[in-house]
Amino acid sequence: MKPAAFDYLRPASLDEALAALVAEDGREARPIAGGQSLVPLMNLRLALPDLLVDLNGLPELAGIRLAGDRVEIGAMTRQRCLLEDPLIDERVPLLRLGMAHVGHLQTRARGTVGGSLVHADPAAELPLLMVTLGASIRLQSRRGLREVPAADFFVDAMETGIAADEILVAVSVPVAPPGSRHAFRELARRHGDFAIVAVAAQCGPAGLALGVGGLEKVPRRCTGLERALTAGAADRAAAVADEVACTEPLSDLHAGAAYRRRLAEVLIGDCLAEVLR
Amino acid sequence: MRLHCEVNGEAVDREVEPRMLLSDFLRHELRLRGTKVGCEMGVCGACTVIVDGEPVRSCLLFAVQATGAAVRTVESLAGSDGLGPLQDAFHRHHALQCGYCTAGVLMTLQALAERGALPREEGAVREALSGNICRCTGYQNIVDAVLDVAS
Amino acid sequence: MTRTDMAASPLRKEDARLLRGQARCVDDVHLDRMLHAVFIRSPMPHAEIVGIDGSAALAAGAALVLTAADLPFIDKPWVVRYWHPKIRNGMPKFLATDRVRYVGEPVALLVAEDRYLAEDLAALVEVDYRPLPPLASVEDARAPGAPILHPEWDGNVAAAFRLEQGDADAALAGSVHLAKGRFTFGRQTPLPLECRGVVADYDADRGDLTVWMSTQAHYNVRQNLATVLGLPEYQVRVIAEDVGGGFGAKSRTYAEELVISHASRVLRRPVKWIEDRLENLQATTHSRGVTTEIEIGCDAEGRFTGLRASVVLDLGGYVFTSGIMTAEIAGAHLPNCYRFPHQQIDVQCVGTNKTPIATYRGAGQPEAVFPIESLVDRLAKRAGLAAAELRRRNLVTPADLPHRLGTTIAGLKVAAESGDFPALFEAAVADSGYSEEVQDLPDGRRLAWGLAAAIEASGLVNFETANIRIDGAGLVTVFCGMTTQGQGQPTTYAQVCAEALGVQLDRVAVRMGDTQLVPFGRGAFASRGAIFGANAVLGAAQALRDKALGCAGQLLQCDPGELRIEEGRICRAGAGPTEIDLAAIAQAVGPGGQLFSGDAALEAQYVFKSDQPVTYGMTVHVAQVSLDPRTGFFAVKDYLVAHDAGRVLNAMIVDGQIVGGAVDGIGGALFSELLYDGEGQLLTGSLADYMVATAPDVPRLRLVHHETRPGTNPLGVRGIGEGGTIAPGAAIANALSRAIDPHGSAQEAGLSVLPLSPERVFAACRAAGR
Repeated sequence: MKPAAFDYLRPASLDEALAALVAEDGREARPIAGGQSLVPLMNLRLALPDLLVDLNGLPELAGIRLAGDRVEIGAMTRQRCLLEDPLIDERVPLLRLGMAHVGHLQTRARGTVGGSLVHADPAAELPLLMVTLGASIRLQSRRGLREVPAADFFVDAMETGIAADEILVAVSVPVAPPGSRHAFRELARRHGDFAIVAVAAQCGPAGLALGVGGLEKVPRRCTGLERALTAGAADRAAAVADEVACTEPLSDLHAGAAYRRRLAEVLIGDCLAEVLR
Repeated sequence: MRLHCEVNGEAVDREVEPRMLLSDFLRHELRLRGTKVGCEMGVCGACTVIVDGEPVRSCLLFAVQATGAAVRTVESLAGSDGLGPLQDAFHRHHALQCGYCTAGVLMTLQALAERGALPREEGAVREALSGNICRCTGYQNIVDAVLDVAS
Repeated sequence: MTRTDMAASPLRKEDARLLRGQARCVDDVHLDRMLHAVFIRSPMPHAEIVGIDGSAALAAGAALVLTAADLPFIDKPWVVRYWHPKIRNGMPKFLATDRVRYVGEPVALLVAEDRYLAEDLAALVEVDYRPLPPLASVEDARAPGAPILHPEWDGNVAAAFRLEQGDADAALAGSVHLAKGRFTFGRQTPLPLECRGVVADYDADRGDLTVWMSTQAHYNVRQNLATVLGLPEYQVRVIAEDVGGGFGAKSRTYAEELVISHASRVLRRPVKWIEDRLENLQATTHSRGVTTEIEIGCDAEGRFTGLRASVVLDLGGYVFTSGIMTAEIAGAHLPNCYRFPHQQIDVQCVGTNKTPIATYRGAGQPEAVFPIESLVDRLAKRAGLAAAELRRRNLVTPADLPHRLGTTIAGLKVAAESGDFPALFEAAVADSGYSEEVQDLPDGRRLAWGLAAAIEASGLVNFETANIRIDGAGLVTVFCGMTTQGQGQPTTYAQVCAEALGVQLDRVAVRMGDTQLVPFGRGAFASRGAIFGANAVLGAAQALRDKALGCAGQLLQCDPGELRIEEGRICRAGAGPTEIDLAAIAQAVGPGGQLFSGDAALEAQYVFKSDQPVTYGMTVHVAQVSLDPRTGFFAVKDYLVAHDAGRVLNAMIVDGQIVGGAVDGIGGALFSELLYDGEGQLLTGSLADYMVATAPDVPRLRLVHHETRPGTNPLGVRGIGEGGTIAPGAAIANALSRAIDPHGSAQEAGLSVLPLSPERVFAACRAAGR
């Protein structure tokens, strides 16, 4: 189980990295961040890049900072930092809650925020959190910089809207309004495994935001449910059931579709009980 | 490609193919056999080494990515005066049987110990160990060894 | 509880080198001019091989490509340790000849300068397959018109036999209460953390073959290498110095060892092959995979009347070199630790297009205990008795000993000859806090207990060899025909030797895992390290002690009966030490010494051989679970294991074996399952999908020791390597069943499949009508 041969480049600047991604004669160039998802695929020869563009030499892509009413997280920020940075805990507490379910010490030490988002595993926590929080994703290429709402970024299982010549450089997350309440619930087979189903919720003066991961091919922002509850739906359980009924759940060796629906219903109910007064 | 790095305090300067995994580089090129390999998919934790202070899976890192880094393996833990504190606690608590997972477990814990973050409560110790599979011990004696060192 | 410890559990002698990273596993062996091999394996579950073309790979730089046609020994038979007479052939060839029968079956070998390059070149080997309909399940294999996997496998049955005592049909017909069920123990794999591997070095000029490998059974490998490759047995050396776990996966010979050795012979260079994890999950033998339909009954007083069962093993595409051992034990152990006067057990091994089944820690015993112990709980409900009480009324008592189970293993009637099952059972119930009341928690969860009792077999394969030598400095070295995968043999054998010989523990070193050490041995599997290995060491140490004392008597001109050895010094009874010590005797015995009589050294060899097929003990596992009935998710909150190890040689090591085994069993009951799709493709090809327990998944285990001494061996030990894995599935399923159906209504929860995935548990919650 050894990777196929590839060329390796460790650019010293973002410009150099972006230039390397512009494809030459059909060669596949791929950025590598933490490598925690890409390298297993390469070891299995399921990913066969011709050129690996290592982003680990670009410290400017790492870091967490407050910018007005948003927290900006560099793509190369290690997942571990989200758990440990007080800025996250104070300004985006839901992120901190959800990160407690992500991976293990060793994968969080190396794995990055941007890497997880681009990998777009349907059961991963970070995509769910970004969709729920209404984050926007910054994509840079030599053609320019664009910003995509997280809800539009994930297009299918393991597939995002990033172009082959783009690098995800940062994600910008709105800070939680004062007085917000947060909940994150996840059911996974073992500690640190990908979720079978996970639910993230934040409720504040601006209203309710609730997302479900692991249920469908991409994280689901439950806007229908949010609207129903904001409008004062009398029967919360019925509103939850309505939301879950119109999903298209995954079915795989970890859980069948009906069971995923059931788990989503229970977890959404639990999260709502926690965030709604 | 040329790889310059530091392994267990010694400078290393070698020519490597970009695709060579760090685990293979340490084991087969430098002949540091203490680091073991259990899955090459980043799941079992046996190949955990410390790179610039962080515990990482060496099967998910290409050796060339260690350029300029300080890499430490289990061979660095024992001093001239005997086993290191974690190793000694593992010995006293019978925290290893076949020993194949041991280097990865030790290096994970060593990284925590160096930043003063060894957990002192059983649940937290078990959580810290969640990325290391041990098939022999049932983890209990490993937990006890960690609690002993942490207290 | 009483418990005798041989010494205050000395710490392990083998730890330091393991902790320092100095273990030498097979992938740590580097030889000059060594080449690297990969196997080309079948991606198809069932297909004809139309052609194999390695020319492109050879042209691109491969040193060698081997197929079945290149192996001069392709039709030679394997050397197996034990073979059930009912097996209808169906053994694999060393490489697939004209047909493949499971995904991962070795089809060709490719050798190149390094492993990376070998994997590049392997992609150039073209194998032309013609697909055949896959038999993805026992049902597929039994369907009318299903293709037959081997000509002798009529109806795809590889073996079928009946174990019978009395008249089970009549006994069940006359029962007051009956319970029956169908239970499936999912397909699993032993999953040692170190995969398999081989380094073979053939010395053409001397005709010697040296093989380093990751095995539990080095002598069986040597026998196969010698007979299949046609080499003198004593010119084949198999070394398994450090092995990163086995658990039954490495207790037999595999084709890879033979093919790699042959490649080294052809190339006249050392060749290394290291199995990767995907290969390990596909091509190392699987285990469990048993479905049992079983019915039991009792009379009005709750006394068991009879047992009737059908055990079906999903065998895979071949009968592998351990035969059908697990199916045989799964059937033979169904009566468990109870008195069943009548029983009829049909065992059938059905061929499918999956990886062949062999042993995994427990080897048939977990497969037996899950159905019988689940069903005893159900029968208790029917009879209106507490589950513990029904067991009390049927446990084998000391007065029943020796108790024959009424079944056979390897044609030998199996019998428990010692132990106090009721006392051990009561200790488990009392110490655990076991209760059949279900506790409702404020958050909607439910806490419930379950237990499972099990008879526990140890020490199969009936001999082992030890040789002990004392050098001129009085230092003692034990050579044994065992291997070790971390079970502590270097320490316990040194303890046994030190005590029997009369020397300090730190004067004794133990060497094993190398066929050059003693002429013949067996290795570490079947919980035989203490029963066979330690008793062989004891016999050799006693013989050496007598020899040394005889020499001392000559040197001191006295009756050796007046002498003894203490801390290596010869002492007179009732007086102090003499001037003679073991070093002096060793010097006197060797060439040039005053007692020289043709021996090269002060040494003794002993082969411990027992005609007792199995040493039986008992274990009781008690589990407490917390269940969320809304989701089927649950946690094991508390877990107690009561067991009888016989004489404890090293309490620390014994406890480590019990806890390690039980956690493996708990992980197996909760997580581990090899899943195939309907086309025979393995879905669980990584450790992310094939799951084992990690540290946060299990609670702190509690142990209760209840010691009785078996009469099967001089030390009075029982094996303890496997007992931990036997009962977790049943104990946890029983706890969950109680939590699902707290009021004990006749509605049965129906947790009948292991592992207990939350989805299965939730389905049972639904079925129980909540």
